[in-house]
Amino acid sequence: MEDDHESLGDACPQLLNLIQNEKVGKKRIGGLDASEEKKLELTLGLPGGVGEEENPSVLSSCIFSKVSKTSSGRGVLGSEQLEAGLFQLQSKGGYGTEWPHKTTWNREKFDEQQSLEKAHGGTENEAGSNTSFQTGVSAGAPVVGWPPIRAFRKNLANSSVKQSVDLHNGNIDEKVKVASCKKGLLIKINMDGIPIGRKVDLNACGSYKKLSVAVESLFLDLLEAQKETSTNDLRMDEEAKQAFKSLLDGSGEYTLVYEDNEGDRMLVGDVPWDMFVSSVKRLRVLKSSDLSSLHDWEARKEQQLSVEYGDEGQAN
Amino acid sequence: MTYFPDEVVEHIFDFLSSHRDRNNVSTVCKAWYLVEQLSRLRVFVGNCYAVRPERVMARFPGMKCLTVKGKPHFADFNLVPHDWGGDALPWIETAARCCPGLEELRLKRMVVSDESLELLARAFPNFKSLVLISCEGFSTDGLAEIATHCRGLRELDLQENEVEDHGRQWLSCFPDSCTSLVSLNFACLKGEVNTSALERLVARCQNLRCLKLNRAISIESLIKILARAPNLVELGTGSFTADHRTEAYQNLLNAFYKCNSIRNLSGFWDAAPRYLQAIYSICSSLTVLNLSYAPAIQVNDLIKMIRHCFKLQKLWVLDSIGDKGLAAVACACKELQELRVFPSDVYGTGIAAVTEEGLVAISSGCPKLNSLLYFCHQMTNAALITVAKNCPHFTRFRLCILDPVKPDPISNEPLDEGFGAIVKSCKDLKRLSLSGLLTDKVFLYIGMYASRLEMLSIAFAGESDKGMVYVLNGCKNLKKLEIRDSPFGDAALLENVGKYETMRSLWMSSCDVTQGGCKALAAKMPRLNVEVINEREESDEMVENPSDMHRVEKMYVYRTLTGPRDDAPDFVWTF
Repeated sequence: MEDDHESLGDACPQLLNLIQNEKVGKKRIGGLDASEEKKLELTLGLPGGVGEEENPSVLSSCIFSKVSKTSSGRGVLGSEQLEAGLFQLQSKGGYGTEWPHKTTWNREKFDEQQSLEKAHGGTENEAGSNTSFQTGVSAGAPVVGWPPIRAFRKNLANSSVKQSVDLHNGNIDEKVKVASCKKGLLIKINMDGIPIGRKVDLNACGSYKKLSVAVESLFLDLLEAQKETSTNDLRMDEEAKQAFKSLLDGSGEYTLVYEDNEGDRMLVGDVPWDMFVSSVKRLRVLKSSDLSSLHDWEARKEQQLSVEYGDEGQAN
Repeated sequence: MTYFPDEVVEHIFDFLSSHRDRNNVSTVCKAWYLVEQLSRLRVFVGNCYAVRPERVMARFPGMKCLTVKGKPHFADFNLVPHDWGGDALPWIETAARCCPGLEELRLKRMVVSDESLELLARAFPNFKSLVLISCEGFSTDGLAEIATHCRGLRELDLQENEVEDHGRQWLSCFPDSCTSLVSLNFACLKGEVNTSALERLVARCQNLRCLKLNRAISIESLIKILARAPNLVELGTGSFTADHRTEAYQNLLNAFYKCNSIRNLSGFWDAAPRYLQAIYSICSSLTVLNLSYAPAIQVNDLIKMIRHCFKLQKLWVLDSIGDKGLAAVACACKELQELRVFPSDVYGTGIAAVTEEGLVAISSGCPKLNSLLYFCHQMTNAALITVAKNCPHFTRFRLCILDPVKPDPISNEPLDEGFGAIVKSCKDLKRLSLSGLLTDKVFLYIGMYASRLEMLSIAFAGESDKGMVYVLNGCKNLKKLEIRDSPFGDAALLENVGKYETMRSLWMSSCDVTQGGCKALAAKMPRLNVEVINEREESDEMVENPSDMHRVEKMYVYRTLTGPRDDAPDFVWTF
């Protein structure tokens, strides 16, 4: 502890200087005596335990404008700070910390964001002029550069989305828009029998029905091109369109399935749309007749992978 | 000592590996300065604008390895405009003229053009190692130049760079005669590579010990590569998912069985649980595991794997690991020294993934923990105090509570006491990042106790100028201070102007510093560059001729021998 006292002695004159003098730039007034040192000795508990003239409510109340007083009886911080003259101290009314309008990150934006978010179970931290932006703000905060992670990490959760922050675009991209950042969720989609895949924007769809329509519009032409020659264009159209009916209920010629974030193949349509969007990795349009054989194949795969059985020879 | 001949002094200096030590001995006397400057082989330049390349290379003509850092740290989070600066070309050009014997170049947060890479590739016949971290400005064409012309290249390490994809042929540019590669890391490349060229390259480079593949590499390729490089020590796995449902799993298992030397694993971008089982055989010898690119891995699979990793020293994961997963880590990984937990669901409104409980569990289970980066949804003072008690050896402590001003949810108090406990207990703390609701008090603690602190990151914290002044007056080893969205203004900025010459840099953005304050600082301290970044806002007309009362949005102050830089773009004003 001697070290601490020593460093206290060195550091404190200047620190003490601050606590003593609201005016900036005053020189140090000399060393500390033992009683002053003791008063500055910090313990790591609630301020009540320190037991000086220190305002016991420093941390437990909503007023942050006071600081521990020394025996020289310093004044209260806060409005005195204004004498510094070169800036304005915002009065701190509470845990909500009323940020001045000058900062780029302001409460209006957060409140707005709040209404966009799902209920996050607001915390019960109501204290003084506590604000709404303490609750669930971690989600989709409209603050530039917050949370402090690299751009490529922000999009990891949805691996199909290409890195949306383009560092080469200069200023404009640095202003993060308030709107949901799941804009333009492009998922790969393949169809049985068609060698070329497409990408579909799930956020533009917004529902399963629209997804089904989108799938049809993506593959209709390609499917027609694949089909055997038919001189009757109209009939070809009809046939092709027929293929896309009932994509979602399994009764049509094709069925829509997807691969989720656990690597499993799932039937599209079981879960709520939002849940689907957050877990989908890629889509596939399967021939419905293949579904049952797919099941068998899956079952064989499961066996093969089971470590307990230690399968080595199981052929595909 | 001064009676020894130079050769002896030089030999003694050979034992000094740290830059600081060498810097210190060179200030003892002229004789030592001369000996030291001629014998220094590894040169570190922490701020590319602090000194001119010519001066560096004139002083250290024997330089073999050069490290240069460019943009301020907050550039990582898009707070620095794209063309702010940090061009590597002047350094490479000067080195080409003055130090053609250069063998290693390490650049961080710099702009590296293809032209620079081309020059680098051709100008240094003994060039062995290129490490680029968080750089940008180049494409696979530049990499092709390096591959083609650097005979005897041992290391090409690309970490988290922005690389433009101009095709996959760069890898094929390594000539057949290239057998010297020891380390190849192209994990950050987005595009495909020529996998057969890669396989051939790996096969002929028998000394290859570190290979980090990018996401475009499938498991099938990985299996072939592992077959050719069974002596790898560090592996970045690529996507870790198969394109077709083939025999991949079994082959993968076999491939990993043969790789007994792997100690460091990363990658796993699209890893499905079934493939993860294939690495169980090597988990028990792993010392480094990076799963932070793998949101697909579920916590139960993670726990199953972690149980095997009892030698793990470094672990990077996503917060989907949850407190439960961290508890499992605490049980299994007693040798853990570094933990990083990244947020996985930045824009979602998911359930809180990790909280203070996970951190407390880690701290009690892993007493050797000394480096932490922890993104969480909440933290309590009690937890931090416990962590401080359990782990007094922290050298790096970075806590990021995703909600910027969140108090202790249980006591509703700011986190001053918690962070105070950390700085008081961890006497070797060199780097600290704060978050959560914080008053000036935490800065008082930091100023008083964090005497070895070198880098401090502050966001949305403090109440008044006093906070910043406590830090400037107290932390005698402070080198880098970066502050955003905190109520520190001109008074704090000007309180201790001499301090900035003892530091590498100061960054303040969205604080209360005004143009007048910046000018005053610049006037008092001619050996600092006081740069103000003025980005044009669409609605802002007064930017043209702002008054001194105008609040400065972004300010970057650094000590320098060169005066204002001549490559500053027009939105950067140096006062």
